[in-house]
Amino acid sequence: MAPVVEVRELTKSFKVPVRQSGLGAAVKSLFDRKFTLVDAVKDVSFTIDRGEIVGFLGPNGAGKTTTLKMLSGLLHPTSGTATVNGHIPWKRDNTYLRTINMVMGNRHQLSWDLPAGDTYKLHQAIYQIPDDEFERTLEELSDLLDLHDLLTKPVRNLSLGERMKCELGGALLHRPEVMFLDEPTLGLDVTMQHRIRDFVRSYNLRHGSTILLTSHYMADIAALCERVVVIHRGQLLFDGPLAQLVAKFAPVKRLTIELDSADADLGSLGTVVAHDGFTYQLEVAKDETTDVTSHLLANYNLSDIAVEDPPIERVIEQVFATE
Amino acid sequence: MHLVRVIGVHARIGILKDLQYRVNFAGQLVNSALGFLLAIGSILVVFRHTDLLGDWTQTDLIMLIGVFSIVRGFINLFVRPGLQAYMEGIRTGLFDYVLLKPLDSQLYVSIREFRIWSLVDLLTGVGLVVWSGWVGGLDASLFTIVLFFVTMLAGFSVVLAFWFILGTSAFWFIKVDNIFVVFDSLFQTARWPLAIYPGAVRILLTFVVPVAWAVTMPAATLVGKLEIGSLWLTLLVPAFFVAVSRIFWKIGIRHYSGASA
Repeated sequence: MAPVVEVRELTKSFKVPVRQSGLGAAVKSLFDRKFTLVDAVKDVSFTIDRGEIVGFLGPNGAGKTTTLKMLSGLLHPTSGTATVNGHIPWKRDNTYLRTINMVMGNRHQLSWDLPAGDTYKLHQAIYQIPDDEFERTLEELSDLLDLHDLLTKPVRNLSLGERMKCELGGALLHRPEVMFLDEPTLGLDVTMQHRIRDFVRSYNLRHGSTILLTSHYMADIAALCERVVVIHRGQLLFDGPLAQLVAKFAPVKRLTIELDSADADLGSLGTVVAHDGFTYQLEVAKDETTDVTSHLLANYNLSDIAVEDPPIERVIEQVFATE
Repeated sequence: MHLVRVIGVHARIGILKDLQYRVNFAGQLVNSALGFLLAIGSILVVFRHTDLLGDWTQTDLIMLIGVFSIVRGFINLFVRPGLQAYMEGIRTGLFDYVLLKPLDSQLYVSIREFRIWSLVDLLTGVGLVVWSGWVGGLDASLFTIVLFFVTMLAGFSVVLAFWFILGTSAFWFIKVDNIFVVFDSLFQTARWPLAIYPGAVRILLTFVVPVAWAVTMPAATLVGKLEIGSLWLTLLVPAFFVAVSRIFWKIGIRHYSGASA
């Protein structure tokens, strides 16, 4: 099966004005603007199959959103190629735009003063959705997202989480085959993050839609995506299953040990990252794990030992810190 | 058909929104009344000193003010609010959602917002046109009426395209609210018939800042002052401005960099 998304050496540079802070510099820049070119995305390539949920990971400004925006046709790349569903996104054919959508966690498109249901009617007209199909989809989305009571209240009276649910509902009315979700859980509390995650998963299962997702919250990615694409400073660092990411980038293993003594000095074996009573957490270089474990077993009175990968957040943090 | 439906739903949403703010209706009434009094007042003052301005009589000029009001109503009904929302969208990044829609983006921007109370201006204009036609003994032949609608349509297209040409600069300069002030000043030139301006200015007001042209043509048609020789302009000027605005828009979209996340 041909991939839905094919990206080859995609690059986007922005011209960014530079100037010193202060009034003098501001006045000077009125007449003499200086720019630098910043590569937001550089030579990024990947493919995505139909029905996949792929997570984009990266710190702020890594190029995740820029990549998503090029794929949804909002931005023209500086160089490189991409096809989504057989279309070149930035040509913005209406047939293409009808099969995709993008939701941004920090930007809302529902009309502030009106109930979401009114704006949904607008989307119905724009996407030419027949009445019966519209009703059916709306019913399904309302059930999945629990929207029933929300659609008749003016959007300004909704909570942030409720608003996000309505945004998602509105974005899916035309049943897009490819969805770009940019930080959909931004600013939401944990319960609401769960709701949104559950929804995205069940929607994907039901309709087999392809979903590209960016999020700051590791939990979103861990819960939804079997595959992650890690972007850092515009470049692709990793593309593969989440578990492999940890294996590849975590240079250490984490040992959780319970001893009979509360003041053992384990510093010579590795880095003690936590110590609480008789429980110690020790980070040890991966290839020394076996040696350290046998040393511990031979020389200490252990009541328990567990060897794990460090938490994903920590791995990611290290990946981004080392560049 | 699709487009008619989209326009219809947007108009409906616009009306729903405006109905929530009734004070705006009162504001619009006062605004229109002031504009009306000012326009008529200045004509009455001028005609205390003369009977003809160029070859335009007082009744002819009231006809012109009628058309001026109609065009102003047209602008405020959706051109200005649409462009305003678009510029705001460029700054906040909400324009992303316009580009995501499977519609021609330029067309969508121009029909997206709708300020129902601006119909007051439009209706005042229609009233003035009818009144001055009545008093001035308008030759209401089918030809004149058709010609009026054709020139009116040409005027609307030119004004819309001109707004877009000004507004498209937002893609490069991001914050261009002053454009509205610039346009309002330029639009004042349309209060007087093109004929009273000296030759060079007349060319400027037709081919560079075509607002006076857009208002004068339909009014001249009704008061029997349209030179048939200049009829070709009715096609050429709108075609030119619409083409330029489309080219600007296409280039602008390529330059759109989005507000960063």
